[in-house]
Amino acid sequence: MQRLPQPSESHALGAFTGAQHNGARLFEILACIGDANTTESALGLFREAVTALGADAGVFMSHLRDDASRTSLRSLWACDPVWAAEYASHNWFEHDPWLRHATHDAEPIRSSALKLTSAEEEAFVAAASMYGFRSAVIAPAPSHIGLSRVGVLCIGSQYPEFFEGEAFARERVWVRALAMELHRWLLQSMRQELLLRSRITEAEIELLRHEDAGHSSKVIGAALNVEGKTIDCRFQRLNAKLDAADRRTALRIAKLYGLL
Amino acid sequence: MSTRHTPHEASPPLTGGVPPTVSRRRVDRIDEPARPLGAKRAALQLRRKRPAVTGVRGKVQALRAAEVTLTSQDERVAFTLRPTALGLLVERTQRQPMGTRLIQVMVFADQEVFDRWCEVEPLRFGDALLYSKLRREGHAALAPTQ
Repeated sequence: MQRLPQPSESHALGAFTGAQHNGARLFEILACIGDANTTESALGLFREAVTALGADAGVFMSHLRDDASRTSLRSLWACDPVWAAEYASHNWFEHDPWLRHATHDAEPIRSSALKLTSAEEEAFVAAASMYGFRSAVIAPAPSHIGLSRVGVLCIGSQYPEFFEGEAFARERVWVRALAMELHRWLLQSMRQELLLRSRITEAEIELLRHEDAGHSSKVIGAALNVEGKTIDCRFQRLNAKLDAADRRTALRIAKLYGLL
Repeated sequence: MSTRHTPHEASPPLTGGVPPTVSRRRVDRIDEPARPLGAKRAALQLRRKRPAVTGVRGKVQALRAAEVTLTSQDERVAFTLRPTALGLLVERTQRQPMGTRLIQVMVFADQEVFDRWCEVEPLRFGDALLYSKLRREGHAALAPTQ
């Protein structure tokens, strides 16, 4: 049975997620996020979800290991943009405990339960608390390709006890669902962006499918009735389009961004 | 680092007289960290990614109507500004030849928040001219909404 919020709980989580109208609104938002056709509409829905959860701030990040030396961190900031500038300025992604949690665990967790492992992580948490994350819920958004693509959502409140208490059991469901929908939207958006930027053709995607099957240039050439050298040239053009050092990396990028 | 062969269930059909038993290249697993490049190839890749200094101090491009992209001289930082119904949408991209590429998307409801953000933007020391362009473009975009 749903617990009704008490007057003293106006700054408590249960007061928001327990309210029927907020639950219905959250459900509507979640259903729309995945199909948002522009960045602004996705960000707008994200901000609405943060408000419906009764929180003050939200950040979603998607971490991709493009290749051995390069990673991409795409993020949506539904909070004070100054925190985004601080994050970039201090390269906080190198010491981000929220991101670290998402790469080790798939369960949503309260920031109070997060074990900090270094002085830098403690400094990160102290800095985040100044921008609406005095208490927070961190929800990982895992993918089917393991650590190569991981998302993490952090929902924060300026009230230190906001996410404590029994209401967290309900909140974690919403936050996890929001994390997964944002991750889905971001993947679609990245895929679309890569297709537009690279102007990769269907024939080139077919080449990548051959590569994924482990076929050599000679084998692919035989299948397509062209020389193996021609296949090498096509791969070189394809690598340039995907900004990849070699065909192995091109295949990895294609998989990471959902082209295959 | 695994380089083991992954059997592929949906491999493209081979036609054109290819023998049924073909040798297969090793395919890396996508859920594992990528194999590092060899020393020569890594150096070549780094050289390719090094931006050419053109002498032009920053770039301003108008991509779509009312959308502006500002790029720093070394092409390491870029901003795309787009007025939307929510406010001014800014996409900030920070690139490094190696390491993490950070892309941040945020929205500014008013000029006061935009100014506070500008005050801590790391670019203010790195490229003062582009920074002033960024402020100007931001103010121009936010002006009609006030």
